[in-house]
Amino acid sequence: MKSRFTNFRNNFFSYVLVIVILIIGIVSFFRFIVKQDYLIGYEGECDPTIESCFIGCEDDTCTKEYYYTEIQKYAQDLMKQCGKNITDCELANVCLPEDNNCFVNFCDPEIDGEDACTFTEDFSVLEEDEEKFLEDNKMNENI
Amino acid sequence: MICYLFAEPIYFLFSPDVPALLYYAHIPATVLALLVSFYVFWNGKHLLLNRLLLFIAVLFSFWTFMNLITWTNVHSDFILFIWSFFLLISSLILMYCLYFVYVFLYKKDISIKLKIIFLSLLAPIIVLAPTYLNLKGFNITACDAFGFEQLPFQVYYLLLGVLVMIWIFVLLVRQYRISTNNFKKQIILMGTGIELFIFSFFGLEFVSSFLARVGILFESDLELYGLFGMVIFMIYISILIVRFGIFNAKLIATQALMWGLVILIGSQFFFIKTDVNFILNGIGFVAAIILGQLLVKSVKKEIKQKEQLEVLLQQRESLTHLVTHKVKGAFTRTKYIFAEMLENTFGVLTPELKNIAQKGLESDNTGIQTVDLVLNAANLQTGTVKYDMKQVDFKNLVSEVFEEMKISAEERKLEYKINISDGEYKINGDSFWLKEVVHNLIDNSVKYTEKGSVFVNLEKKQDKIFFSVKDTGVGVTEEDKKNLFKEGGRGKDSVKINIDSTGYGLFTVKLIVEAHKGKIWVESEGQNKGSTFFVELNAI
Repeated sequence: MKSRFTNFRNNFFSYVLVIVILIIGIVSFFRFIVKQDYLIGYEGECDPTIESCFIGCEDDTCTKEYYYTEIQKYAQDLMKQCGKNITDCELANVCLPEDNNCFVNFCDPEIDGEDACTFTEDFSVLEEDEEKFLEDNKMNENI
Repeated sequence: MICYLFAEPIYFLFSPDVPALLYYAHIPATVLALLVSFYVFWNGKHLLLNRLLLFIAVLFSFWTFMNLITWTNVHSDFILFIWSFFLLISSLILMYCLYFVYVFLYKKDISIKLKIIFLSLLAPIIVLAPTYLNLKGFNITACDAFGFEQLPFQVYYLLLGVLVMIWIFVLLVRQYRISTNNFKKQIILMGTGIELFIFSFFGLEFVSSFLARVGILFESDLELYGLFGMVIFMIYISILIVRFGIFNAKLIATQALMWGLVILIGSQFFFIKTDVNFILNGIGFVAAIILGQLLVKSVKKEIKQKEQLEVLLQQRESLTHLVTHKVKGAFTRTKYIFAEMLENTFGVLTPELKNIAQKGLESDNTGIQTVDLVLNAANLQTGTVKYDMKQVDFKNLVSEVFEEMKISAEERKLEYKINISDGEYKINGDSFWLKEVVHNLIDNSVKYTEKGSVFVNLEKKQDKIFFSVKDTGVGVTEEDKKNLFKEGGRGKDSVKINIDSTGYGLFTVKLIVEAHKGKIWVESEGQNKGSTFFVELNAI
């Protein structure tokens, strides 16, 4: 009995760590893979003629630009709306009322710098546009 | 969710969207770490130090494997699951490095109290790893989670890294101060290796992910260079095995070099783009293995021969000691018999018998001196003699020996003079053995000079003391000069003049002078033209 106890005492550091890491592994697996309990950040579509978009470069020398908004959505919601891939998924570009922790971030020249944004004078256009999209979406769902 | 801008990896780990350096940095470092640590473990499974090294290497391999997945995989849920373990595994490597240093320095397991302290330091990272306080989300455009790592968690991890580095440094310095010279060298090697590993691996990893998070770096390529820290650590471990034989492992330098070369050439495959280069590198890879194995085989053979030679030398040494002690014992016994006879213990001797007894006594004394000379040479050569280094007045020592030898020189009717220049002649040395040097050189000159003079000179130039004995004796030919200071080496005709010449006197003198960080040499214009023996020592 004494030798077993001594053996446990000597290896106690490793035993405790292995057990704890296994528990952490299970919890982590449940959170990220089963429950999809995390946020997803990505670049959403943006129209520079009516919205203040972030400017991105398609290559290192920046010969070709593209425009985007920064979107964050709860992974579970995005999964329901678009499946695993958000390419060609319209709903990925907007926040729906039932979305948790969702926001669309347009470029703000004061925060992000004027060079990083396409310039739009009237920001209210953006909000109206978004509201209109949401109303249309609701109507479609009711139909 | 899928990182929509990136392609799915081939065979789980290979993706065209990653830099070639990724594989070059990960795979050789991991293979080398596993090779060295498994080798060490295999040579002493029961040793805690070996087990800890293996554990560090396995954790490191886990880390590199996980990192390869996060670089190449495109599924956010899977990457995040893996990502949540990063800091936990890194912190475990940190704590195990500290544990390893403790066991290396103190040669025993750490106390239970210390283990609890280690666990307490790890607790926040372990408990918070799967929560929002570690990772909040994932960016599927950049295909990473840098923007969602939480600062307090990162700061705690950084502080833990800094704490462990300082902790290890303090431990090393404290133990260095009280260790023997041999262990001091081991501490320097191990300390440098482990600190460089921690600094490059954790330091660069943190800086790289921090710069990526704040947007200064688009990719965290910088962290890839940090992995070479493990290669450095393993090189230091190999040096420790080869030079000091720690971990109870027998690895020869050639073996380590060969495998290092094979891994380096093998890892070139990740860079190669053309078929021609692939074939050429393949040939080089196979050639390195075959030639390396041949080289290792020949070196092993040489080492075996060397070991056999060492055994033979040890046997010779013990035989020398046995024979000389037996011979010395026999000489001593007859010496006392002759001495007793001369003192009339066995009755009054006739003048004729007295003369014979006197010659017998002198012969025994010479025999004992010869045995002592051989014994001393053997002991000095094997390092059995421990020098008692103290401040010695070399001027007094030379004068003393000069006076002792005066009778011998006068008996041979030689002109016998000494010249000592003014000044201090203090040196750091063992007076007993230095006396042996002076005595031997003067005695040689007296014995090998039939007529003429023996002139002893002592002078000081800056911080060097020059002692010389000049005679008009048999001289030394160029051929003799080559062997004069070697074991058993003596002048070609020396036995004609001195039948007791052993060839160990000057060899002993050379060993003693060199042990005192001095130099010895002889100058002579040739046979029968006299010679001058010089000794140079450091003054204090």
